Amino acid sequence: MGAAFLGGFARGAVEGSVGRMSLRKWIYKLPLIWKSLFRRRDTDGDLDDELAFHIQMQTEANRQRGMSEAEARYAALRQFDGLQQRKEECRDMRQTNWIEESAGDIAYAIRSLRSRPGFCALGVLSLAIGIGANTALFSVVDAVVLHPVPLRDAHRLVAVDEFKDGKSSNGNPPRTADWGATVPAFEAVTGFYSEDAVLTGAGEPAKIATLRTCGDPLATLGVNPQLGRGFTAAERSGAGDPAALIADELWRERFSADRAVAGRLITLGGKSYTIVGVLPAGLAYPSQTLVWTPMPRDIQQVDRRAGFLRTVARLGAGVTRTAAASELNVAVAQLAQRYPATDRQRSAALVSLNDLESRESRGPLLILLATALAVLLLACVNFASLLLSRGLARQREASIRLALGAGTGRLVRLYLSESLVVAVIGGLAGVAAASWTLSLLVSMLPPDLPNLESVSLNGRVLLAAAAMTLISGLAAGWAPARRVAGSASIEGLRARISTEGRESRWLQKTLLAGQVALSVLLLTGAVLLTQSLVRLGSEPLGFQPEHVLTVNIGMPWDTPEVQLNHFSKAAIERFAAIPGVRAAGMIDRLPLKGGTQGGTFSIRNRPATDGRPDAEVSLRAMAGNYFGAAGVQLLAGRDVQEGARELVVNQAFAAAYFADHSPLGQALRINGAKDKAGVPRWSEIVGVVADVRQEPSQKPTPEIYLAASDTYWPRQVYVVRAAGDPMQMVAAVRQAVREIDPAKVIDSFAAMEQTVHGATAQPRLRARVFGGFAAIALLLTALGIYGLQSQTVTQRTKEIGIRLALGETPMAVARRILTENLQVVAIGLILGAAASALLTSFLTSLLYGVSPLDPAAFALAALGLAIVTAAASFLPARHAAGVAPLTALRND
Amino acid sequence: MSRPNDLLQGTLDLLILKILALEPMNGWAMSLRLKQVSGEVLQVSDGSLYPALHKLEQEGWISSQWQVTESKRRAKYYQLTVLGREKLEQERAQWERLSSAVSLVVRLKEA
Repeated sequence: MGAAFLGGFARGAVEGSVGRMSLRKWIYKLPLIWKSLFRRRDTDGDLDDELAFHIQMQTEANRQRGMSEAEARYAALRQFDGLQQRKEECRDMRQTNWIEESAGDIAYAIRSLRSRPGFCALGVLSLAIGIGANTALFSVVDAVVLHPVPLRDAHRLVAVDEFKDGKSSNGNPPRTADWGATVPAFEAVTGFYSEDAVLTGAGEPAKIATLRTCGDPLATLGVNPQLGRGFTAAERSGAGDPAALIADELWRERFSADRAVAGRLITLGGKSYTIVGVLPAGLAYPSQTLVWTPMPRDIQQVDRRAGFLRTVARLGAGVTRTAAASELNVAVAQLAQRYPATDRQRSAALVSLNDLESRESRGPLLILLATALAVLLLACVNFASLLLSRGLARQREASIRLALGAGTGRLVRLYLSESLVVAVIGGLAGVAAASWTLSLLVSMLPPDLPNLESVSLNGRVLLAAAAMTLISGLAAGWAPARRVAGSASIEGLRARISTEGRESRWLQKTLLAGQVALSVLLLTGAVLLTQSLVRLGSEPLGFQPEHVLTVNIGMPWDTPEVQLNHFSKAAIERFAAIPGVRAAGMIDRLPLKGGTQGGTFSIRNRPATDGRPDAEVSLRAMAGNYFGAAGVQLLAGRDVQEGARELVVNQAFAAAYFADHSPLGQALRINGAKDKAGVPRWSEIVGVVADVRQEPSQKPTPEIYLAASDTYWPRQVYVVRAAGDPMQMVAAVRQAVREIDPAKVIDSFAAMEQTVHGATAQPRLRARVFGGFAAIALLLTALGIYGLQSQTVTQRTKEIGIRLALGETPMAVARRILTENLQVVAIGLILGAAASALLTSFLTSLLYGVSPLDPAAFALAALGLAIVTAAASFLPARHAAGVAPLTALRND
Repeated sequence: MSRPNDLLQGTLDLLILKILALEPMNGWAMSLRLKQVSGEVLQVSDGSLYPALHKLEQEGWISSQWQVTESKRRAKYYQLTVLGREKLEQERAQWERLSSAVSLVVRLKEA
């Protein structure tokens, strides 16, 4: 017990002194390193001289013992047990050797690769595909998921998520101001919403995205104006003259980058603002806003129940989110006491702004990245088996090197440098390919991803690419290099045919099984996504998109209802009168674009079933002949009449609430409506229309269509059905709008077929990317199978010859030789299917109408692989069957 | 054919350090001394001596310089450094701990 304690103590003391020693060691080491690196000839000469001296002395000693001159020298040499190997060992001790040797190794690797361009190209190509795909995707993940908020110290920015009665709600200006004053953890707080405002007075009228702020947006977001000043305290609170900060883009386009722009006026939505400064160039958060202006005072002092803000706070330096959250909870509780009527049952949570911005995009992007990594892994495996089969052909060469004094470790380094050279070329090619295809990739991604504009091959991305390259080269090269170096022996030199070890065969089979498993995994994913896409495309749309032009005209949120209705009535009349137009109408949101106005309804003469008087439903505001223009089929009854208290429901609504009888003639009360006298207002159901798909990947839900004059909604999309090409109507539509209101700005025109196409763009992109990856995987696997099969045939030519000579049929021989490897494929297939069963559940959110464990998908993937295997085995099989027995037997 | 790993791990290092602690010496003389002091029990081939010397030099425990021998030949002489002296102490302490432990066990067996 005591001895053990003392022993431990002594060891500790010794280790301590070793630690100190390692520093002083360098006093001796550095000159040696210097000498062996830069005066190599001297160092090697010294070694030769030193050993020569020893041999000379030993020879003399041997001669004195009576040996002849030659005998004495031979005995002295023999005592060294391999002079050249010993010299190499001495050089290995120098530790700087590897620098010089690596240079030599790389030169050797390049020479040897040039003599085998096919092998080199195959390796480079597979790694370039893997590394390129990963680099491109990682640059997107880096910008969108890892750094979605391109602001100073973005890790200190938090969004406040608010809840009322447990339901998520948006922020409120007075409450945001209270938090700014009472939560010490917040260095600064701001709340904002964005809206489109028509800019007039500086060139053509245009609708520009405007950020309305409360609190201190500049301090919170860490933004400094590049010109002029920020908002004063009075301006921030909405008091004083309306002030505005303009974006760099707007400053250049509309104000010719005038450095004296501060003090000039701009008119937004008919209201005039003084420009106080210019925001910095490249500001990408909140995205695409061109003007920042504090909310007017009345909005900043709005009722505490209203919620319409995104609230963001900057935490003080060193303050954790947990600490800030507990302070916030205290503030929330205090406010609940101070304002019991409005602030009770509220709670708030802090979310990192980065997390919030990347929340929705993270899942799909990470799935894509994981897929790309699987392809890279496969490329490495493929490259490893290429190296292995090449290495086995070099066993003789390795044996010679061993005999000439190379150590096993030295051989491993030599062969590793070859795989590294290929990996580096592949990595460079991959990064080049990524930089060429990056803009294409970005254009295919959904444009609403955060921070998409800053996707680039930045330092972090290049570092990741370099790491991937090194790891690929080492991982793919390690096992084959070990195999070749380990199997090399002096005996290997004597063998006339290099005999392949059981172990390397095993390694090759394992690699192939891995390849097969990975491709099954990717193939299953691709099949599942394609199935979803097909299901999605075969669902009825509920409308007819051909020949339909959509015209998007947004109105400011504060447009009076009368003005809205007046404009829409005039617009629909004029559009319908354009020659070549069959029908014109208006709807609040286009089909397939998602989003809805939520509302409640009750049915006359029907008691509420679940204790709640009103049920929730989606409301659609329409005007003119919307159903005719969009081609929505009227299944029963008729369209509403303008001004009458009427409405139309969709089939899903009819089925949900009037399963056993016709809804026609029934009356509904929407949002608890009352007329001016306070009497409940009921509207009659006059028609039932087909279900229209509002979300690309969701089943239609119950909907009620109301006349737009019945429900206030400033978003207006006009739908114009033309006899011919809808885009030919654009000029006439533009002219019609100008005639009604010259200052009105049309946001966008689109052919409805484009909308339909666009709605499935994401699933289609995913299916294509997955399909592309799966195709690459299959190709690589096919190469792997082909390689192993032909190698087997070549190695067993003699056996084949004997079997044929003994009378076995060529078919039987081919089958015998090749089915052995097919077992490996089968094992890979099973492993792949098992991995798929575990992993496809991650795809669930991307699938539509198909289960992640869909047996058909698994069967298809297996079938695909079986076909590829058969195709890849065909040539080797023919080769085996076509062996001429006598030639094979002589071939020794 | 005795290779370094025929000796107990690290023993050759200890022997070299110990011999050099007595006087600076060239490789040839050291091989003679090794044979002489350890007799027939420890056989160190000339081949394994030099890599060991070079390793110890790289570690900074011994240093070398070229000198002229008594027979007027140029030879590389090794000597112990300050670090080498410390290392020798450690190695010796460790060796003694090990050998006493081993002999303890061996005696236990006999009893």
